[in-house]
Amino acid sequence: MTPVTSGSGRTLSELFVTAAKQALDEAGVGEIDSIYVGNMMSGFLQKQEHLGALMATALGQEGVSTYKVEAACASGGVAVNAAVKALLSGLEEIVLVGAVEKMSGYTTPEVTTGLMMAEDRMKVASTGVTFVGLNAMIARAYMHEYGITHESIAQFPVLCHKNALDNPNAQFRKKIGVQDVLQSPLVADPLRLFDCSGIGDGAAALVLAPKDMAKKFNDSPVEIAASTVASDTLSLYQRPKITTFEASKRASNRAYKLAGIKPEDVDALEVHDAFSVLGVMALEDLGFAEKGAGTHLLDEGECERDGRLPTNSFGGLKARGHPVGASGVYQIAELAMQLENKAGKCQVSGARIGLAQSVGGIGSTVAVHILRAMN
Amino acid sequence: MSHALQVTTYLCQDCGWSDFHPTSHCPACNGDITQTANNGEGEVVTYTAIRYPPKGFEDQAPYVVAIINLKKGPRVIGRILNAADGVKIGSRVSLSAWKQGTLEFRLSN
Repeated sequence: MTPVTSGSGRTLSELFVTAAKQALDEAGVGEIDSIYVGNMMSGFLQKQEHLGALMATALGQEGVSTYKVEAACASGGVAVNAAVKALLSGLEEIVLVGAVEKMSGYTTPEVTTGLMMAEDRMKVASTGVTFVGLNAMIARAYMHEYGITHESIAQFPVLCHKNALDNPNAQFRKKIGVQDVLQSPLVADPLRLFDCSGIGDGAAALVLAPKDMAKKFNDSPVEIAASTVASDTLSLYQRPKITTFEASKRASNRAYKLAGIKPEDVDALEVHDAFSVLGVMALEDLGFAEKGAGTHLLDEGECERDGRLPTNSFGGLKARGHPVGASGVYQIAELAMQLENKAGKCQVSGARIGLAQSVGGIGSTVAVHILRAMN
Repeated sequence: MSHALQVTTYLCQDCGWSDFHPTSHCPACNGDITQTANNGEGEVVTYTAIRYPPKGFEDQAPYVVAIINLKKGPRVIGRILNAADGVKIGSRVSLSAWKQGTLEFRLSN
């Protein structure tokens, strides 16, 4: 994976190739059967589509099967799901799955408009609401419904910033406190700047192969024990309840079943904390806390690296950075490092099972992956 | 004086789904649709004020967007024009205009 940065001027190809070559080199793989590229906004911001062939060419791998996968901010997670299905079909054996997003170098209104393409253009974007605004509406409803304070929710970005201090790839390596969140500028009431992930560029990549083949390349490969995708209505207003993401529940329940595990078996968790309230809701929707009780885990220090449920141990979307379409692959790459005991200063001691949740749009698509150490 | 604007609701006979936007069949269950008049009265479910707008909305910020439960008919998303008068979750609103695809509400007295 590349460090997440803003303003580097690196192109989509440069970002993707850097991450992909690193993944191929570390796996000791030369020949691949296919490339899956997760990305959300290249067509709008860079006026560039056809990323499958573009990246195959940039990598000198022209000839292989190529695919671009788009599911808004879940593009990376859904690309991994597509790659897993390709392996399970038996039609492909060694698959490169990477995801890339370049968001810096554009005005805030341009990026804001691009992100809103994940919602309904005719009925929702037409009101002038932004993605921060939609999440702000969730945050307000969540705090009202469950009697939770902004202070409680602000613990999530504080945790992520603390964890990112140890991650050399993180975009924001700066410790913050709850008061820093509450006193930062309002973006969309009640959400403030430090409730929100930033604008950044980055790419991450993985090499996937069937288990028996993976063992030839790596003594201790990590198994993808479950890969699921679930959906909900495209628009937030179309749902009777907006303080829970049903797609998170659906995708995770199915993933737990496929992997044969329960939430309490998870040693390392990566959730889609694009906004503080989403981090808290994820803890609930993925089965780690009752509805309205997600912040209790933060109060009790359970989500710290040495807690019962180490969460976003590399800094999460908030502090590692959220190059939107790429984040889902960052999460899985980070979990793989945890399970291989290669996470450096971010290491969660003895982690054997990891879960990653990647959210597209306003909870409209959710990808869940469960990873398991094989050694 | 009322600001209320009469609009048409497209209501599913079978499952109760409804929307303002014309449709011949229910997108939820494919049931038959009937059209009913809606006086646009509703209640605020949640709301926000947009301070960093998308392209094309720059000169309007800040503005308030809300999700609203209409008394008769669907849950919708729209603007609240006089939110500065004191909007809250549960505030009563009525529809005052439907401009370029955007529902515009005002707080009820």
